[in-house]
Amino acid sequence: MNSVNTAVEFCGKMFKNPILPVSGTFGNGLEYGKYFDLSILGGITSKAVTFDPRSGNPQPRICEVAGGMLNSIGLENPGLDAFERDSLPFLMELESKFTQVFINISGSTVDEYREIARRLREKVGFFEVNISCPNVKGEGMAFGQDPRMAFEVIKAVKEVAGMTKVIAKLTPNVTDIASIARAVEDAGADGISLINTVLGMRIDPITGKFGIANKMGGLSGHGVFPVAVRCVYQVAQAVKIPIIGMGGVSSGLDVIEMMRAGATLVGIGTANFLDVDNLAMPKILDDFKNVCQENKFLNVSDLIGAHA
Amino acid sequence: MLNLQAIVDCRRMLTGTTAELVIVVIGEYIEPKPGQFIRVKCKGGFLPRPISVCWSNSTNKVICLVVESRGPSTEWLINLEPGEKLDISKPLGNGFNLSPGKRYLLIGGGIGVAPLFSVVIAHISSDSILCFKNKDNVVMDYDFVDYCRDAVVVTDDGSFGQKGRADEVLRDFLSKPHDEYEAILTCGPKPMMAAVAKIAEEFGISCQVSLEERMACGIGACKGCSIKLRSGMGAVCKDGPVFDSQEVIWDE
Repeated sequence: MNSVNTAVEFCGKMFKNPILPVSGTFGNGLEYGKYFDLSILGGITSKAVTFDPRSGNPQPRICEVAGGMLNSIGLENPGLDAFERDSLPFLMELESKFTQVFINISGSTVDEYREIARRLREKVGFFEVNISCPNVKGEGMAFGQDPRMAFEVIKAVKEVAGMTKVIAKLTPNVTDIASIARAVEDAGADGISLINTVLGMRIDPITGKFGIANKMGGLSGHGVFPVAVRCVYQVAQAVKIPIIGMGGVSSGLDVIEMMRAGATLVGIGTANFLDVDNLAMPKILDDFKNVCQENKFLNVSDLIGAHA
Repeated sequence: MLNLQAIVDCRRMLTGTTAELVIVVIGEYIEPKPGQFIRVKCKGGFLPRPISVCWSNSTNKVICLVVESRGPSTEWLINLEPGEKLDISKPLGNGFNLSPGKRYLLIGGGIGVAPLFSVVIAHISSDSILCFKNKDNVVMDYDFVDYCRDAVVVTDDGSFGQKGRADEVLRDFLSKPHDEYEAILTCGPKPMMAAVAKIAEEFGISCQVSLEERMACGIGACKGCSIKLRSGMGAVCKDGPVFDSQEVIWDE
C-alpha cells in the first residue's frame, strides 16, 4: 500500500505537512501543547507580538454567530520583551523538531513593525506580518487595505529581516485583494497568508446591545470558508510567491480545497475551539491524510493550484 | 484518540427553564475540583458551552450540571433525554481555594448557587445564603439545607423564604455574632458579586468570586475571556473562573 507523502516545500524550507495553527487561536503553543505533541504540526504561528504590551479590548470580546463567531480581542499580548523572554525559547525548541515557526508581528506604525522585526530577526524561520492592524497615522485605515501602505510595511520588515522569510498576512476587507497581493510581492514578501477575519457586526434585536464591546469584529469559522477559498484563488492568479490559505478550515477536505485554490500551506484557527478534547489539529491532520490515501493523492504538493 | 463522551443518566426540571442534568462519563474520568467547569458541545450552538460542575461522584463517574436555558445551546441541554450522548471536556479552570477544616460562608444568586454546591458536597463546612428573584426561580434549596449547617433562602419579593436583596441580607448576617469564616464564596449576577465583594472588604473577610465570560478555546490560548485584574490581565477560563474579589476591577 502506497502511503501519502505529506511534505511540502515553502520558501525554501521543508514542512512535514501543510498544516499549521493560525495566529491568535493557539497562544504560543503552551496551552494546546498540553494536549498533543506539537511537533506533529507542519508549522505554528505565534500570537501577535506588538512592541509594547497591550491589554486588548473590553468584554465581551467574542460573540457566536451561525457557523462561526465574531472576535475583537484587540491584540492582547505582553509585548516584545515578554515574548522574547517567555515564549520565544519554546518556539525555537519546536523549530528544532522541524515544526516551522512563524512569529506574527503587529503594529500601529511602520516603525513599530520594523523595530520588532529587527529585534527578532533570524531567531526563527518566518515573520508573518499582520497588516490588518489600523494605521494610526493613516486615519485608522488598516495597512492591508491600501496597496501603498501594505508595500511600506512589508518593505520595512524585509529590510531588517535578514534570513528570516517575510510573509504578508492579508485582510479580505478590501475591494481588490489581488492588488494588495501584488503590492506586497513587489515589496519583497517571500509569501502571502490569507485571509484574516471578515469584518462583521451583531446587534441584539431585543435589547439593541452590540454583540461585542468593540461593535465591529472579525468573523471566522466555516461560514467564511468560501470567501477564503475565493481570495486564495484570486491571489494565486495574481502573484508568483507561495500562499498560506486559512479561513474556516475544519476538515481534511477543506485543507485539500484550499490547496487546490492555490495554497501551499493551510492554517486552522477557529476549528481549534470546537473540539472539547483540544485535538482539532491532530484530528484534521489525520483526516487530511486519510482523504488523500482514499483518493490516491500520494504527493500532497501535487494538489497545490490543482483546480480545473 | 481521546474522546471524552458522556451519557445522560437523568434530567430533572428544577424550574421551567432550569434543569439538573446527571451524566455518566465514558472513558477516563477526572474528578472535578469544587468551582471547576466543563465545556459541552451543544446542538444549535457553534462554540462548546462552559458549564459549572454542580456535584460529581468518582465512584460512579458521574457529573451533575445545573443548566439554565439562555439560548439555543442551553435550550438543547435542558431537553436532553436519558441515553443521549454528550461530548464533554475534562474539568477546567482553577476552582475555589479551600482549606480543609475551615468554615466558609457561601452566598449565591440565581443559577450561581450551582457551583457553590460543589463546595458544600465536598464536605467543606459552610453556611449559605441563597438569593433568587422570586419563588419560581428557587433551586437547590433542599440540597443546601441538607449539607450546610445553616442555609437561608432569600427572594427579592419575599414570595419564598426571607424578603431581601443579597447585599442587605449579607450585611445583616455579618453584623450579628457569627462563626469565623475563612472566606466568603460567591457566584451570581455580576452586580451582586460586586456588592458582596464590597461588604466582604468592609468586614475584613477574604472573598472569592466565581466569574463568567464568553469563552472560545476554554484553555487560556485565545484571550477571548480575558478580564482586567489589579495585577494585570487574567483568563476567566484558566486563571479563573474563581478570583480573589479584591483582584477584580468591578467598575469596568
